[in-house]
Amino acid sequence: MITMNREHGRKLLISGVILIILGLQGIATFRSIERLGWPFVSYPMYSWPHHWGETINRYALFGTLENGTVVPITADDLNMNFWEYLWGPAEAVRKNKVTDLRRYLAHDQHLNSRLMVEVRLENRPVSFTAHGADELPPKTVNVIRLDKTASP
Amino acid sequence: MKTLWRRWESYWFQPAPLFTLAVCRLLIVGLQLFKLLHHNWHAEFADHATLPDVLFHPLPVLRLLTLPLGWAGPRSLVAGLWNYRPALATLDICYWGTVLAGVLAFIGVWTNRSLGLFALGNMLMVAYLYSFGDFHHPEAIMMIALTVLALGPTGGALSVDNLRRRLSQVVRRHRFESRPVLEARSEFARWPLLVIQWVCALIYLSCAMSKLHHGGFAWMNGQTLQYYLMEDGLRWNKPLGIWFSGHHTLVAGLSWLTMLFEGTFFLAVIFPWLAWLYVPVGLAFHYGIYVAMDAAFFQLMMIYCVFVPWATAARQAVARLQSWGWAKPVEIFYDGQCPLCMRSMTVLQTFDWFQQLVFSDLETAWPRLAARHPEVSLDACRQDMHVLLSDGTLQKGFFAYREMLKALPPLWPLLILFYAPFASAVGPRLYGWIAARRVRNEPCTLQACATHHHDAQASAPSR
Repeated sequence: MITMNREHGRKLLISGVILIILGLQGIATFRSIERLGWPFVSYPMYSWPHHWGETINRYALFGTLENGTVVPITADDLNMNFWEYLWGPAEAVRKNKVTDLRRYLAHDQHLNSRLMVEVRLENRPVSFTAHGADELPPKTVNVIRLDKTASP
Repeated sequence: MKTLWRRWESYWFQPAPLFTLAVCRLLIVGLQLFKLLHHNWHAEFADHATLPDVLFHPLPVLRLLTLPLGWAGPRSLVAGLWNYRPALATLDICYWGTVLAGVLAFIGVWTNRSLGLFALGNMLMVAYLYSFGDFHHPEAIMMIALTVLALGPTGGALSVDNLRRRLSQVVRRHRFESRPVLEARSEFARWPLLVIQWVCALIYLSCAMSKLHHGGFAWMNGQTLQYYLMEDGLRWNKPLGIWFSGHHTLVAGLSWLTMLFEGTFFLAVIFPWLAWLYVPVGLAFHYGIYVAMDAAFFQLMMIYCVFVPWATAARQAVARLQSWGWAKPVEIFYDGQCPLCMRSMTVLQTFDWFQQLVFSDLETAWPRLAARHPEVSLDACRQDMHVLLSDGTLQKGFFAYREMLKALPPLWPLLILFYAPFASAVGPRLYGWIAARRVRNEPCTLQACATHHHDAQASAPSR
């Protein structure tokens, strides 16, 4: 009898666990709770519709050193992966967030021993067509000149 | 209410083979362990350790997991507890602790506890890496699956825990009881697999609903998938993705198939026989996405193993192999009075995943063996263990063990030792040395003897 009750109690407890897990994943399925609920997340990637004639942006950062040399600033230079790079320094230049950019550049200076006086975000877009990609001329999205005296 | 509970109970708690759950443990833990050992996590932690604090936005789950560590933080109590950023050394300790827990979970030592720690360690490390603005999905299902497996009887088979349990039973009861690994069932062995299946179904439903929500039927116009193939193909330098992006009609067909697959995947949970369709399609789908778009969902692909009825599949495979004459059962005549022999039988049966061994207690099966092989004496059988092969020949001692190993695929690596140079000369001597020193219980004659009262029932050979 005791065993039966213990088994029953265990089943009730597990039933609660089942409901919690499926409930959380169910909420994530119908409502986006992303960071809040991880690892219970929704899966909205590749969901937005697209059409021919749209542009695919490809961003890259370039820095100008004190001696005027222009050097690329890559994700590897900053110990970042592609997405951290895109949403970090590239986004900072695009949205003119100078304070954030200075932090990334201080990080770059620490890692690569170089000092930038100017940072340029360049877009090398392609046009999306029915038969493939057409290269479009590169565009400068934003340039931020940095005051050497200001610290991050 | 009672009817509802009975239905709930019969769905989630229907007795199911522990073997199936154990195979899933081996595959899922094995893959995650491989990912831990294969990837340079220290380098990744070191890279992230250099990133400025402004980039660190801890996921809530990381805040919770590191809450106890926050006490040691240099900041004010509340801020320190809630925004604790683990140091590189802490992460390295966590990594090695997680690897150790993973190895223990894989071989099944303190299975639930080690699997729980493995799940928590992985969650902490992945959540840390995802706390810098970069956020991906493939690991999420793995974290959920590990947690769920840690709560089920995953060490009930194919584990050191189970072997220890059975060995202690042999010692306590002074007898070997044949319990084929494929036959062991538990009413708690089904729910973990079902929960993971339903989480998979909800994930795919989330994908399908999100596409319909954002794009409606325009998502299936072919252009959308062409765009994503091109974008990822160019970004990650994937020629196949770029090639696909130039073939609209083909991609439009794939868009419809994708939506159909994601939107109806839950049917594979409701009707298990549909898994034979959805699982191969899903594997091809994810492999295609990986090759064309560099989106690796290997964990999800491995987690498909929860849809496979491994115990049934093993039984059917054995029946098929036996009908083709490729699998040949071996009958072992063990000394039921010898504790070492009984323990050996228990170990051998633990690895007999394909039910190739038939265990017969020599004392009760002797008349049958003597009738078939009159040239063998009972004393000789007591001295050396004998096995009867499917072609009727008899092998003993070291050579008997060699034949048994051939029937146990998980132990095939040991055959290297058994076929090593001079093994045929050294092996029998070693076997003889051990056999001569083993203890043998004297059979008792009392009617009430707990050790032997079962012998009458055990006269038939058992698998």
